[in-house]
Amino acid sequence: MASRLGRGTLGRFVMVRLAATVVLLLALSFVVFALLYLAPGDPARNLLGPRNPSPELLAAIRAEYHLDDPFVTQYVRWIGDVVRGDLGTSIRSEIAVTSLLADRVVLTAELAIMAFVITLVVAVPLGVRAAWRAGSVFDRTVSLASIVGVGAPSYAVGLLLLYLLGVRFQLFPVYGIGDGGLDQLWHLVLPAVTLAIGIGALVFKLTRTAVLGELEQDYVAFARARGLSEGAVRRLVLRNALIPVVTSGGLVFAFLFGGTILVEVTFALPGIGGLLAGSVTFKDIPVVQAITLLTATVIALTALAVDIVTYTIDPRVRARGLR
Amino acid sequence: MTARRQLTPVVAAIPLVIVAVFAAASNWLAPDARVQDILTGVTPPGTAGHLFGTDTNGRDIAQLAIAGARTAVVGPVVIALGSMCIGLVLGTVAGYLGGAVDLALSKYADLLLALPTTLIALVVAGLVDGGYWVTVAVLVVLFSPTDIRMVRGAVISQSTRPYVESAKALGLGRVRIMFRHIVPNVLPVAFTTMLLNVAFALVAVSALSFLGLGVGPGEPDWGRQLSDARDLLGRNWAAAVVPGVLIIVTAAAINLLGDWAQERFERRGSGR
Amino acid sequence: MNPVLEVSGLWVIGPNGPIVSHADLAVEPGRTLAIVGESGSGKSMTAKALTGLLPSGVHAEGTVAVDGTSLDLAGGARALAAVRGRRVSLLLQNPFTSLSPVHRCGPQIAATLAVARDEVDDEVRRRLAEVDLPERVASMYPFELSGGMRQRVALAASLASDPLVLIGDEPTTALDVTTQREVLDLVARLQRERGMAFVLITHDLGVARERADEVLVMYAGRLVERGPTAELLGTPRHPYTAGLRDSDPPLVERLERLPSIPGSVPRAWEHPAGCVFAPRCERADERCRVDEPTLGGTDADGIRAWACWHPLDDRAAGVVVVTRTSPTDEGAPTRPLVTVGGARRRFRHDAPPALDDVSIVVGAGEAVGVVGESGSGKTTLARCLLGLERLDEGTIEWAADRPRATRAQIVFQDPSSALNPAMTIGAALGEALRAGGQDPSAVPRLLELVGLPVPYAKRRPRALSGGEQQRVAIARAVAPRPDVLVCDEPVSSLDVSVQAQILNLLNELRRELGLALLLITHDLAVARQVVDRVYVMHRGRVVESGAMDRLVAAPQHEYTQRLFASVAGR
Repeated sequence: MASRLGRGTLGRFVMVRLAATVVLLLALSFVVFALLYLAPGDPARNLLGPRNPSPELLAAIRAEYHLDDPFVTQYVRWIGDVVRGDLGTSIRSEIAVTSLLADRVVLTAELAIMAFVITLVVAVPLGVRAAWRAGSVFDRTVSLASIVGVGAPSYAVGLLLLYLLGVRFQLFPVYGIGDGGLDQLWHLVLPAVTLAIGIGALVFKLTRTAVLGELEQDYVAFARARGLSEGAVRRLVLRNALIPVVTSGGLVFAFLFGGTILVEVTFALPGIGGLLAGSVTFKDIPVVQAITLLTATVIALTALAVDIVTYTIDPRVRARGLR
Repeated sequence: MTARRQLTPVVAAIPLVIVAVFAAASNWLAPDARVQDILTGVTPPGTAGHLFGTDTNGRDIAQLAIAGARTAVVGPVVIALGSMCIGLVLGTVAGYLGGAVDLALSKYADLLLALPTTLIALVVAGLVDGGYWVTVAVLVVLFSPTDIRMVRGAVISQSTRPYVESAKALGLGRVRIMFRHIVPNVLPVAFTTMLLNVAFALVAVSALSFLGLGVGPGEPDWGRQLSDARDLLGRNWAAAVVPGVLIIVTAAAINLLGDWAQERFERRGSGR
Repeated sequence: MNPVLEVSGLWVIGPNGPIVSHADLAVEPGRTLAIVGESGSGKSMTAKALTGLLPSGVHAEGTVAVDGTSLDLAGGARALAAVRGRRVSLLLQNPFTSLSPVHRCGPQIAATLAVARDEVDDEVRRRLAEVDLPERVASMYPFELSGGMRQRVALAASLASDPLVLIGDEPTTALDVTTQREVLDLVARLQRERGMAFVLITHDLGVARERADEVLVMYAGRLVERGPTAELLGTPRHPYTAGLRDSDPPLVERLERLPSIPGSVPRAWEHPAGCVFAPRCERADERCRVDEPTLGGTDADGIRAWACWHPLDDRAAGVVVVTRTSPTDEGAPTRPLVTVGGARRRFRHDAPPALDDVSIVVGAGEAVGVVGESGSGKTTLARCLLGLERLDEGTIEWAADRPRATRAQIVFQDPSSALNPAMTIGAALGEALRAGGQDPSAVPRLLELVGLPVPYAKRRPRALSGGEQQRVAIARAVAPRPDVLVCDEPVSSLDVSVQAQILNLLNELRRELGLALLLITHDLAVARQVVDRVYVMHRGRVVESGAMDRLVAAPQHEYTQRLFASVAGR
């Protein structure tokens, strides 16, 4: 089918988009590397942390990190290491950054996925229903709630939930991550719900706008006028509304990762976000660089996935191909 | 239906006016916000002289919250205004002139939008290490790409309209066409975006102080107050609830107003 | 024969009051009923009420009987569910939006087919063949088809459930004239084959004249006149019907001045007491302003009826007093003002060129037309002349070396977006005067020149009707005293009764100011009333040119002949 539409196949589409993603990530990695020089003062001193350095130690650090080389040379060496999986050593804990991340990435992923699932299961159906009954009491109530939710910061919501459900009514554990397995998931419920409130409000708004936009289209009136059942009309609308909802999926993902930082700090969870917050205050630059790059990669890959899904579900994009 | 529409801005304005009064008159309303009493330490709500109790350092929660309105409001307003000024100038130029300027600005926006704002703000403000106003400046830069994009899009959709073409046919200068003809028609949507940005900026600024950045330690600030309250949940619930509710209500009120304004402009636009 | 569709006592009521007031209509199997009206007449709302598609906040009252089954219109979509699609179906105006963009055409047609699953493909093929489309269209997406093909797919889809009545809401308005004719011919053939009734909702009296057995004229939500087509248009009784008929420009002759109806169409919520047409009617007296006339039947079967206290008699209705202009001569202008030579312009390398070796001349004080359908390149030509678009190749030579503002100015199609919404009328006109080196205090004179009250200078465009906005746009264009006034479809988005006013204004301005006029239009009849000489464009090329009189009498090129043949109602 795609071949008759001409100009591109899925394979070629993926290759070109992948190349664009790599270019974006390279550009970002350059900026990330430059972070080392963003902090005021001598990078060598910053790399040593708050210890009082002797001149010999400083010289050793300069040699170890090749700080006297030209900037570009340093960057090339650094990105080479990154590609090989060597992200340097944490200043604070003096552990390899990769193993530091490995310990925490699972928790963050669990938190993010849990929040994402809660969002999908709750916000999307609510958005569809609100659009279908635009102007009803249901629509106005949920829309109002979403306006409050979209602006409510997770750290404030988190603390309120923690106080109400953790301290006051003691329904959920207050801090910590439990003993692994199901218990860990149980400890993650409150953080995930906190995270899902902001994201869910956003997804609700996006879904409602998308479905409402489709409902106003002529093809819906035409379908009804020729006697399609309400169920068939609904399928028609949802299939069309899927496209803008998926397209904004990338945005939602970026939002999600920004949110995990605050939620992990609020609930004192040992994830990537909490590590980043701590590392920034400590000026643990290798860790900050690694986490920034990791987040950028995840978001870029999500955007790539969104592009591919859009390509497969929107025949117009398929026909336009790669421009 | 119409009565409700008229009610929305009024209801949303009430908390905003209160918060604005807090911010403007905090020295007078909360003179003792910075007064510590380490001997007393934490007290629960209802303690004599302290409606909402005190925090670890014995500071009055209510007074802290009133005084904290200043950093919560001033910075976000500056951020929203500043980034929209950048957005209006650069977005208009990029949208109307196109070409290399447009390409450069789009790439810059792409790069900044590839990461969550919270993360960039945290990393940059944290590493630069410069206090409240540096944080505000960083956020102005971080907020500007979305504003540039928004204005650019609006300018592009205006500049193909016949009234702009007519102005070109009259031989008017580019600057006159851009700022006398196009920009006035972009202002309503720019204003709405700015309003919504105040809410986002409020959340972002407080988030950074929650993470220990921006506002100096000991300064009254809602984000910092929340951060301090994490360890007090069992001893003084108000320490978390008061600033938490203030942030949520303020942000919601601004969003509500923004949403209302957006709907009004859209309706007016479609009525043409 | 009994009517297959019969509506009685239809009211459509919106938040600001009635949109349609007490309408009755009936149509018999195999026959065509046209509902004719301008914007705000309620004709589209009538169609929506009959198909249960009224927007929220708007509801209908009255009853509809379809094939003997009587239904209460107040029940909306639910009450109509039994007949919707199966007995009454709808065809919409815009073929580009009436099909789902992400579903293939085949399934969209099949959605309401009543056949067994394994016969669907064969049936879809048969249905496509019925509307003269090849089999492969079934597996294509709507965006891969032209407007005319999409409207055929839409037609096949709306006929999939074999309705007894088809309602077409401006079904060909968005199409080119040649395609319009094809689609309407197709509907007529299917009507004959199926014995299907057709309710044609249109603003175009020409289309109604050609296609309908019976016509209903609506104005401001009221049915003002109805009757068999020939009778109604031959001897209209209601002054509005007569005005509408006469302001429709003729193709065969050029009139010194087009008859027109003064004023503009009232907005839906404006309800003057008495007769709705009284404010614009020359015959109106005190009674008309107080008592609202009701539709009164006159002949035995009650088909012919009008709602007027002072109906026109045979003589007044039948004769239009016109002054014809003398024929103009062929040939190039004596004093060329601007010469376009060998113009080429291509927007995308994989698309056909918008301009392909186009050469035209406009002489001083001359009225020249460029006629063509969408995609012919006529608008690109206009934009290049204004300097809004560049040429890839070719030259534009101006005889006089004058500042840009005084060479050419332009009037666009859509008056609502032609004026800056943020500027007052006075400010916009003042700016245009200054741009041409004129005294900005001449704004009042400019407003009078285009027939607008001077206090309008303080208003913003939003407060004006479409026709008034177009007058302002014309005033702004003539303010710098340009040599050439380019008008790009200046009346296409205006109501018919207002079109004639604007065409008259253009002719007057040309005489008074000695302007040259370049009229870009798809409408041959409009061009006929304004221009002396015409260029016919097709796919980026000028296929024929010459004196308008000669072209009307004897078009040479095959495309020109087809274009003339497509003009409806003549």
